[in-house]
Amino acid sequence: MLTPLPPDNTVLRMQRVTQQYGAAVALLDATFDLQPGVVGLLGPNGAGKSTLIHLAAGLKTPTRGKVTWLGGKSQGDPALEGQIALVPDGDSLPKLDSALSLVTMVLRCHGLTAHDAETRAKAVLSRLGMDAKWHEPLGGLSRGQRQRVKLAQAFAMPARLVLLDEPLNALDPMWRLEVAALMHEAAQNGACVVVSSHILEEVQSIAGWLLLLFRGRVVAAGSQAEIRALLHKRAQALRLKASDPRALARELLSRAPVTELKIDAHYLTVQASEPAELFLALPHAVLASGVRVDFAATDGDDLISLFQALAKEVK
Amino acid sequence: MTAWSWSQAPEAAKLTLPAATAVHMQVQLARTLRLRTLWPWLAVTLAVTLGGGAIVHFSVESADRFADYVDSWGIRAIALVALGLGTAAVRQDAEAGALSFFLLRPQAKTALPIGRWLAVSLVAGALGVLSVTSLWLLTQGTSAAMPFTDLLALLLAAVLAALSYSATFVTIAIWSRTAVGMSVGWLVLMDGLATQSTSFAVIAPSHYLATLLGHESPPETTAPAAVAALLGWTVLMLIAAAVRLQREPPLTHQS
Repeated sequence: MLTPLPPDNTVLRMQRVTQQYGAAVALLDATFDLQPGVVGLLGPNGAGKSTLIHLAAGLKTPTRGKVTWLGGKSQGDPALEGQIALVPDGDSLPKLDSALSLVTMVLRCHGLTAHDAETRAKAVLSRLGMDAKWHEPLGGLSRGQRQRVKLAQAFAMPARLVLLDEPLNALDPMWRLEVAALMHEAAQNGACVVVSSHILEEVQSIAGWLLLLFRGRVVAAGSQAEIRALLHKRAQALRLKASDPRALARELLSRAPVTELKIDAHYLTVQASEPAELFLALPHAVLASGVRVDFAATDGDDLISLFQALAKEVK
Repeated sequence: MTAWSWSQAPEAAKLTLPAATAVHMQVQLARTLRLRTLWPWLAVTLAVTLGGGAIVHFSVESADRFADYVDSWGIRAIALVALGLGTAAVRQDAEAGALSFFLLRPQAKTALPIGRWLAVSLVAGALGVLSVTSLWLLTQGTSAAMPFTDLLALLLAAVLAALSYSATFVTIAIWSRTAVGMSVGWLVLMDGLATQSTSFAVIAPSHYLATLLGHESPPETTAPAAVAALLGWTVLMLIAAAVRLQREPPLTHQS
């Protein structure tokens, strides 16, 4: 049975959460709220994603700060039992168990009868294409198949918070789509599905809300549009292919705070101290110069560039 | 077959502690009762029994020697089986990252170590009972024949050894990442060094097992006190395991 959502729809709240392992700080001052929907947790390896996920699962107690679920409920609250599902990172599973026995036993622990547990386990494993491999020992399955078994146990019963640590690892494109469909189905039914990844593009296509983690710090959080705006602000250079790059450069110099300019044959690369002003000035400069622009692109407005820029700031 | 749907899950009722314990016991028994897992421990049991048979055959006149062999190797074999199965019981889930699959379900976390411990105790105890009964039967009709009361003492010691050693090794595996090394170290320390010193012997399960088997002369502890000490040790170990799982379960991936 799912615990009702609180009036503010907050499924998970972290307030100034810090996690240390000895002297190493895995997570520092993380503060954010999560609501139903698919949330992308992005960050390079070692950013603290798994630590954040374990804290969000209530399997760890933070060194400092407070983690609450479903409107202020704390770790150990009976109303949280069965409300959180987790797919941990890594691709190992108990080698001798079969997919069916593992998922069935997990469901038995959820309180289902033996018959219901097996029926439900078969249904979710079938959905994830594991029906031909029910009885095979997990040690003999491929990485992708083991990943699907891990996902099956997480999606086997409804939960309010579904935490998936690198769930798309080892999955081929077809199963990535199917797993994304499962996530959206859960989200539409009121679950908050957190998907961590260090592969930025795959999460961008699934999640509506993004949480960017770097060196244990939450460096950005918001909707896809908000993160895009942040990236847009950080755009470092504009690259153009123009019929007369010198004429266009002259116009841009007079209209925007240009800091760097490079002309190479028909290409013009220009940087400004205020990227937004440069973008606003561009159409006016094109009209005023009368040159034809065949191609325009920005450098530094993707997530990789954002992480690189943040890396410099954190250093 | 029913199609999967997130929102149309069957009704589930929260498991009581005994029911959840039974499920975890079933999980562990299903993993243990396979030839692939069990053969080393069957081999240990068989080797101990065959060793006893050899003593009966080659030095049947030495009843004391045979009794010593049964007492020491029969019980040590149980400790060894408990070590092998107990250290793997929860650790294999932790190492495979599968412990959270069970811990996040709506049930008392205490059920997990208790269920796993019961399964390990059952297997170690069954092999121990099989071994000591076979050894006792081997002596019948020879000059080393042991009385029936000795068999009862051996069976009681075997059961208590299985319960206490299994609890110890399941708990060590929950607390330590190097479970096998730590368990072997503990066994050497407790069965070897601690029993050599009177002052430390009181913390060693083997000391109380020796009391039950009449090794101490005169006995420092009475048999009921020894039983109580072994059961108390078992409960203490299980509490320690439950506390660890409740507060900070061993998870493998903590980057």
